[in-house]
Amino acid sequence: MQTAFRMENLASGYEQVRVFEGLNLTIEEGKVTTIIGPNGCGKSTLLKTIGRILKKQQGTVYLQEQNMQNLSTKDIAKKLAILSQTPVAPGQLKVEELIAYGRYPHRNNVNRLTNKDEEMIEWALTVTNTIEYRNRELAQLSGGQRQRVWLAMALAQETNILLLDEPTTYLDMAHQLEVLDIVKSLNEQHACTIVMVLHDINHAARYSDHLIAMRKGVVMQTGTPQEILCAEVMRRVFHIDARIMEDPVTNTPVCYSYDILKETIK
Amino acid sequence: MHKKASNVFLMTMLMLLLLILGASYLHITNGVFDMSVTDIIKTLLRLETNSNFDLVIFEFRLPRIVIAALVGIGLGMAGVVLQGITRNGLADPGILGINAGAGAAVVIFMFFFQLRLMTADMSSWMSILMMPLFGFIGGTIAAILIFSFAMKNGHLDMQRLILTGIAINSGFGALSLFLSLKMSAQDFESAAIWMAGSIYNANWIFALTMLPWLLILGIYVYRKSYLLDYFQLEEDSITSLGIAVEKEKMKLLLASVGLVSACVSVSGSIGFIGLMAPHIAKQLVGIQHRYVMPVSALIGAGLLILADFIGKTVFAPSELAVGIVVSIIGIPYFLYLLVKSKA
Repeated sequence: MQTAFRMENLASGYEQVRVFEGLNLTIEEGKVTTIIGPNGCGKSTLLKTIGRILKKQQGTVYLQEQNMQNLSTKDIAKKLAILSQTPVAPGQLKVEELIAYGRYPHRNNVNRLTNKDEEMIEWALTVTNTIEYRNRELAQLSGGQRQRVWLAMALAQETNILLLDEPTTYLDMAHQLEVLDIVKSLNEQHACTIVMVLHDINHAARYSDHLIAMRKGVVMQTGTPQEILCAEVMRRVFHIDARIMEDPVTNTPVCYSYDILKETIK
Repeated sequence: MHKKASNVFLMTMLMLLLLILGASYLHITNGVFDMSVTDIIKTLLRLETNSNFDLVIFEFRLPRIVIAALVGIGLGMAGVVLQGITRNGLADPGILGINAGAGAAVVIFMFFFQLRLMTADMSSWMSILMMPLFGFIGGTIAAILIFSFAMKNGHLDMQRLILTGIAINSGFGALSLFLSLKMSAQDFESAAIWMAGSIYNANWIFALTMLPWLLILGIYVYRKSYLLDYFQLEEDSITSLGIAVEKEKMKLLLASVGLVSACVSVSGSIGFIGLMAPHIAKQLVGIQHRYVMPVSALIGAGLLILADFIGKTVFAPSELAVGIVVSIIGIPYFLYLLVKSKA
């Protein structure tokens, strides 16, 4: 199995603040891998660092076994797309125009779209189910619609790897699943490698092949949803007393309720 | 949909060209010495030569119109670039202190070389050519200072950018004032007029000196204008698309500093054009920068020719520096933008 990412002795953070260091981790190709952990554990920082949005402070990241440092940012953009946590675009921009931005790494003529570009934009519109409001301005869209448009832009980038930083935040329950279902189908039907950060551990368990559980900049445990979503790991990672059962429909573990561990409250 | 946008663009460009022609017509026919259109056409086409007309048209009015147009184009384009890379609609060469930096450098130049800048004659070709260079150096220093103070963890902090800009602006302004106060009365007067932003001593040498800068940098930023579309997204998304954000921003910043400096070195500090022109352009043709850029350039040119015309006629025979006229129009508009952006 080829690796999508391999990190060696990786350290990253902001200015003087080291969020994590000495991190060694591999993420497999063709799988859905989700990073979970409490606030401030470094999950977003990790995602941003392997997506080269954030400069690493130390160590090496291999993207499909190539040292990322030796790849141009444009070449990386052909291999991986990132949907950031709080994307911003001018409200007057049309849906189609924003999605066309995703074609940037493939474009030679900046003023004209090729047939291939048009094709990919159509595909992205179809997959994300945004085709009906392709001519609308972003300002006229709801939060759920807008998130799918951003996802479409990342898809138009035509990459094998997709990094998603909390793609369901601020969405209502139905729209959360809508986004995750698209992500799932991308993985299943287009062999897209997905690496994402999710807050909801039940979603993480249901939609992922692998989970990476972090706390305070340290990878506490990696494994299948069954291995991670258990009382013992939940206690160590989230400091919660989790009550877990198996969802008979999806056959994935579900944390149906929990309490805060009394002894850890400071 | 695509067709429509480009049609609007072409129509707007056409209207603006007509506006510029109209403003130029007013400018060239009116003044201390009124002339009729036929006189002007006859003189321009060399059908009839009258030494008085020749002098007024070729030595006074035409270079002035050309300089106003060139400066307007430069400031209009630089404004689009600066607003684009800072993602801040209030960014303007004047507010960011680039004007003041370039201005201070030129005043230092005037101070140490005792150049009677405003009465430049052909023998001081070299020193005239030195002025844009000094302006460029000053503008670049100001820009580097502002950006290094505003840069935080590799990111441009907007609030810091504006605050630093204001500080740098008044710092360089004070330096210019200090030096100009130490000048001889005559030099001081020309320095003061120059700092207020004026083009009434325009001559062909000035036009020729700034033309190559404007051509090279103008074409460069126009070719890069598509990038400004992407810069409307937040930094993470731009990086994700494979754009070397900091590098491209730096290149564009340097180019716009060059444009502003070339303008400032011939016309002094003219504020607000770089602020207003891009905003008006976006109202007219939307947010695609390959349309915004040329439209903003023409708006800049038109506004400046018109402002210079107003400046020279309203209080005739005494003249009002064009920078002051622009500010009189610009300040209310600027306040309006501030109020609007608060919401």
